Amino acid sequence: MWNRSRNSRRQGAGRLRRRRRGLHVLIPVLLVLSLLVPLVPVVQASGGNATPSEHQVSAPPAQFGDRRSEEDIFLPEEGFGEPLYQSVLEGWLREGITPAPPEFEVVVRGADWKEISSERHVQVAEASATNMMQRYADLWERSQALTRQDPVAYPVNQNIRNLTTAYNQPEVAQTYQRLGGRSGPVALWVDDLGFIEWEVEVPQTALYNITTEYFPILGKRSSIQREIQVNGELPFREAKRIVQRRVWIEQRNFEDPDCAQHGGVCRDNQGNDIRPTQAESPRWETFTFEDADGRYQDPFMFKLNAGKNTIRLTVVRETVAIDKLIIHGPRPNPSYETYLAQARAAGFREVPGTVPLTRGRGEMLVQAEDADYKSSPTIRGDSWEDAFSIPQSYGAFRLNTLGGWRWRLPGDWIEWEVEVPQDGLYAITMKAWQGWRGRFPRYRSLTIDGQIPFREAEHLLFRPDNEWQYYEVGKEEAGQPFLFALKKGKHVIRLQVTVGKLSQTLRTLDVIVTEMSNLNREMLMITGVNPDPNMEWDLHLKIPDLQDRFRSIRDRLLEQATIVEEAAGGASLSSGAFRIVVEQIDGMLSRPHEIHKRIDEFARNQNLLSSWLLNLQNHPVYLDWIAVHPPDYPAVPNMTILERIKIWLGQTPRDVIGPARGNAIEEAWAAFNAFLLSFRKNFTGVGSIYDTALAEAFRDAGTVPPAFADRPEDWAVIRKELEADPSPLQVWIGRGIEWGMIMKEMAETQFTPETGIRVNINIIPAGQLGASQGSLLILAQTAGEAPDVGVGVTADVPVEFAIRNGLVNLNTLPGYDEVKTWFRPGGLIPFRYCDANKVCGDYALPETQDFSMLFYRKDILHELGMQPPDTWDDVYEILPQLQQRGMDFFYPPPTFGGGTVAIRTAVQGAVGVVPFLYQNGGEFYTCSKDNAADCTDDDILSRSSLDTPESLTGFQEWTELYTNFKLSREANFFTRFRTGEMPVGVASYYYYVSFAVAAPELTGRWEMQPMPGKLRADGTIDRTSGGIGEAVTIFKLSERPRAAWEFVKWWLKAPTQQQYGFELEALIGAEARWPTANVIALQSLPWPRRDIQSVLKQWEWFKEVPVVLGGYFSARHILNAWNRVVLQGWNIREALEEATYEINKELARKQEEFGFEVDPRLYSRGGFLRYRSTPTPSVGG
Amino acid sequence: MATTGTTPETLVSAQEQLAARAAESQFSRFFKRWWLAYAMMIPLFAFYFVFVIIPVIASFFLSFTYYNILEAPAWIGWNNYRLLFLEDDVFLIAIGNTLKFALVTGPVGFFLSFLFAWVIKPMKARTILALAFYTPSITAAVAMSVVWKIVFAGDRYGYLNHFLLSLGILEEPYLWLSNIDTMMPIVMFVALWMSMGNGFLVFLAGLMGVNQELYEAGKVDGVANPIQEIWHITLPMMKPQLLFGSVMAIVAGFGVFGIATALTGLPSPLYAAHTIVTHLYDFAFIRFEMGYAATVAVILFIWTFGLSRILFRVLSSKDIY
Repeated sequence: MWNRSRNSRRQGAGRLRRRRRGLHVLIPVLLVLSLLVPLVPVVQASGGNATPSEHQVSAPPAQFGDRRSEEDIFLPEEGFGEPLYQSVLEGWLREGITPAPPEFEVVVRGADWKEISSERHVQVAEASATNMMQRYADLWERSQALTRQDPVAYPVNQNIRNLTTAYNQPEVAQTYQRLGGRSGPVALWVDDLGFIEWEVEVPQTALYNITTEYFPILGKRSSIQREIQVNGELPFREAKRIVQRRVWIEQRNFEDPDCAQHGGVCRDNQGNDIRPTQAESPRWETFTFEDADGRYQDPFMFKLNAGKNTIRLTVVRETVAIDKLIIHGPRPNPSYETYLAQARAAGFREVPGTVPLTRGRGEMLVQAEDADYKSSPTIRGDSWEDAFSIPQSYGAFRLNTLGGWRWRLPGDWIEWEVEVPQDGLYAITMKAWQGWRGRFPRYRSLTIDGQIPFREAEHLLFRPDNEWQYYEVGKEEAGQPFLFALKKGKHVIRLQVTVGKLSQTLRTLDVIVTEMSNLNREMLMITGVNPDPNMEWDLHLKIPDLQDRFRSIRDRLLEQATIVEEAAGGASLSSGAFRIVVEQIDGMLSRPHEIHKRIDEFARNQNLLSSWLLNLQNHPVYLDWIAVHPPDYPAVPNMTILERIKIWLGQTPRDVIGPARGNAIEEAWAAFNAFLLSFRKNFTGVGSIYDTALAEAFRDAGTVPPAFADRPEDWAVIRKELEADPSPLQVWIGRGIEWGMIMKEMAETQFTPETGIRVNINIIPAGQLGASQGSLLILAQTAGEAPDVGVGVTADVPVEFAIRNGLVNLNTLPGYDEVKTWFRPGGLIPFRYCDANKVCGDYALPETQDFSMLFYRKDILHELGMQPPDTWDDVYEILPQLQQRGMDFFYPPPTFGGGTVAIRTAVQGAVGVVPFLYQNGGEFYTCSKDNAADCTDDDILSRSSLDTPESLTGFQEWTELYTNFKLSREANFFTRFRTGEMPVGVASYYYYVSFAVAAPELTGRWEMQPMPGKLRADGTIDRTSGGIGEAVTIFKLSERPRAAWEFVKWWLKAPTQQQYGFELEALIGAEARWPTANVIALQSLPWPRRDIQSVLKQWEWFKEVPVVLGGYFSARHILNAWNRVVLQGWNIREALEEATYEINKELARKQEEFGFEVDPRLYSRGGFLRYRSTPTPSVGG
Repeated sequence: MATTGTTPETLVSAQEQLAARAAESQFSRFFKRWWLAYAMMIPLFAFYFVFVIIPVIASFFLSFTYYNILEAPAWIGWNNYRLLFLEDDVFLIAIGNTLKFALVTGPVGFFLSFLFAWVIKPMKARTILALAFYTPSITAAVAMSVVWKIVFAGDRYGYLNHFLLSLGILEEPYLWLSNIDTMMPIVMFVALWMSMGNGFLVFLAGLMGVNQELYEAGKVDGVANPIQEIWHITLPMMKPQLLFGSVMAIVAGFGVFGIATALTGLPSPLYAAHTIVTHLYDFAFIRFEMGYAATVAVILFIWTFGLSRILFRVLSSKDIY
């Protein structure tokens, strides 16, 4: 006994000692770990998003987290309250309504409508569609008349003009006149407005599919969207947006032998492939109405009552011709066994392996990039530098794969034509890559000749793998390749993106995210945004069903996690995310009294889930080639070493198939080749790089390029310039490579043939075209290497360079007065500079412009019974109500120099003050006269005007937002708008794109309108506000200002800008919407009608802040004044006085530096004091 | 006599010859002996000359000119210096901030890096820990600032704000990086965290280089506890490293720029975190007054150079243990 206790004591002491030693080790370890803690969020932040691999050579610069194509920029007006298809369908089935028998079919001719909205919207098109052309001509006439009447209210309808022009081109007109070669009357929307209603009679009340045959009519190039109503009502929410896709081709050039030998792809003089232009190739398409986001595997079923029913299609956007509506019973595809048995019964046998595999376009083995048709121009070839990509790239840009991230949205398809030599059963193999982060399963459906052959082909699974894989169709699903019965001859294989087995997950997730967002808001309404953690909120008692709702969310998530894991063949990022949320909810359930402490976490999880919702909808797959081959024929023969070596040495004819992936040596060899190339190839330029400025065609003195036909004297000047300095025009562009490539392409095909001037384009990292921070532009200028033209330079560059004599005064160039009318006058302000001798010049033209709009959540404001604010007084009225409920209004807070956003205005981080200053009648600068009213346009803006009563009021209002109304002084608007914490806010109009593409759960729940303003005496609302823009300048070092000016004029004119905007969206997607400064071009970009009107309305009030000598001090000291007032409680007047003094001092210093006549009062404190009632005697003259 | 050929004349000439040979051979012997070493140093000298000496001289020259980058410099004599010393209020703020910064981060960083080196030295995972400590020093300031900006974000969701709000200490989010009271302390804190690694690594090497026998000898001589060990043995043995560490700390302290601007902006609100280098940058790349910026650079150069000379005087000694 005693012994034992002593023993145990000794043990205890030992343990204690051990523990102490443990502590000794532990403490430093903890210290070190604590040092590393701040590194953690970065790791997390970089781990969240599924990004395409580094292999994707030409990933566009990230604008927003996730990108989707233009197909998804669409916001239904209302309808977030409508029930979802799933619940409606369940209701129907519960009522005992069954699907109609598959053989049932009723056909309604499109032209046999019962009712249409107006003759102006819909017409019958006979075999000849001349009336449609006439229609556009009329519309153009009418819109021109309106424009003449009131150019502001009715701006030039560029869209109609384009269509009119397009239809007048013979080849386009031909296609449309024949309407795809179909005869007989069809229904035709001649304008993107209105509806058509048909009547259809069915024998029994049942569920029917509706299939339509449509012909896409030339429009704004976006997908065709319709809303469908049955018997006068919207059957379910998804029926708001039925998407019918256009048909696109790549315009390959087989006429030029240089291009034809590369499969119709031309190459530039650096050996890189030039992406062929994407063109629309309309044809009759058959389409069964289905969900636009692929959330349901089967097409929609609509309940039709026995007897007469009406079906109405209403335009959401774009025009289309409709031949027929076919109402039929759902027709499920047979199973593979049935299919095969039928085929065998019909005499199809396996094709023997002795049949040779033909290769090439339209043969048995087709290169994926040679696709015939596709549903979107954004689906396009890419270049992989893999050892065995075919054709191999060897470091050049070679289109050798297709699809990838751009081919990921449900519904997008690609078609290839193949030809088989004899009847029989064939297998299909593809070389595919699906190694995106996150290890998601991705799906495709396979259609042969317009028909899905069997049920299993509805969702073919592409398992994630980091390497290229041979994908034998059927291996995943049945363990052995599927056999397809094909007759001798040509067949069309279509692969379409589908969500496949994840559709159920998507639907559930969608519902859960909505539920979570509601829950979050309900909880916040009780607790406020910052719940006192020590108070007993008892949320589970105040929201009685809270726990049940949590539990149900949790259970459903858990179920979906299992489903996703099964499909992906193991844990994936998404199922992990689901489980995290489940854990968190478990935590809340186990301690209901502490739920309020975890609301923030809950909101974060909601975000997490909605980002997965987006991710699971993305189904990208890369394809290298696709082969239809005899089942026992190895589509990929085992290669001998000799053959492999041949491939390494670059002797790869287009038709040799290598292994799916190279071994280490081969990959190294490919990389080494690319490395060797880097010594020979010029990587700095984009596209072809020239040595001379004059295009060959215009070398002769006598030939005058078409653009100068009516002004040969200009050509003479330019010619002289180009002969004096024969190097091609250098253009620097501060944007991503794709932006540069399109610009180069357009310059090659339009600018050079028109003007005979050749252009080299260089991509400069975006931030480097600024005036500050040791930018490349300044260094180049110092070294005498500045380009001829700078495109996308930040707005502060022009004046900073002009002051120091670095830029050409555009005002002196011919035609400037006309060119400047292409832009809002307010946008030209920051580029004007007058020197000491009062010689004024305009040193740049605006290229892009961005300005603030008001965004609001319709659902939340509706719930709170509020109207979106139209004036600042409205804002002040709703603010307290919002804040009472734990919500807030967003207004861009001042960003001090260290802000994360690159700010490119004259007032940098102080943009927030601009609307208040201008709307109250204030100004930033004025001249040095005693009375500001005496200043004329000729006077130099030489002193700060912040000391006027108007400015004081403006500044006061601005700071009061933060002092009185306690607006957030720092916040992420995007996230808080999504969570609903900030249901209203003023933000850049570019947020429109990010809400539309990156916040799918908000679809239809938000809107954009002009920003709040001040009600004037005459009843109008003054919404004056500044913006952010980029400019185009010509550098003085260029000795060819006239040639450069031709380029600038060409680049900024409406047709160029408009086409650029279209091509950008076609190539990159809607997130690349081009914020052009050209007034006419902006209107023709694919904005929904309502939104473009809001944008234009706000744009009328666009007024930039002038850039003056030393003007950077305005931003600095306005921010300082804000800091003093808001954070340190200074008196507003004193803070502003101090700021004015400092600004004036710097202005005077700079004026002195550049030889201006300086008013000595600028140096004295209060030299121009204007607040005081008695004027102080001025110092000096 | 058997003095053949040793007439005074020949003697003299022989002596001359000898002297000449000695003189010649002194150089050639030197050359023969050291040419390889010098040859090996040529690249370093070349780079040092091109990238250090010439720029220093050039900035001395530029400090007497008006130079706006885009146009050629114009000579204006002492004007820049006159403006800098007599009229530039902000420069005084910058000096104040820089001094404050250097006086706090220099000694504290110095002490902390020694402390950590001392703590870590006896541990097994020394290499890993050393790497962990050193990582922040070799990471770019901008990257570090991203990390710390999340911690000090003025948003309700900034880590610090969130933490203090949930404890009920704050009632509304505090703008840590725009408030003049907190800007400088935060910059100092982050800079300490970042720069500690440099000194730490040197000190660790120094600690490991101390001869263990000295401790045993010390024990025999009556050194009783670790504090005495440090004071009487470790520190004296580490003098070269301490010297290096202190000079580095001072130089780093005066050159603070990256982290300050990355965290608080350029210029910081109300110049509250404005340092000499920030001031220089402000003039050079925002106002395009390179001449004036060169003047600031020259002053900073003289200052740091002088200080490090003083430190060398104070700390270095010829004692060899």
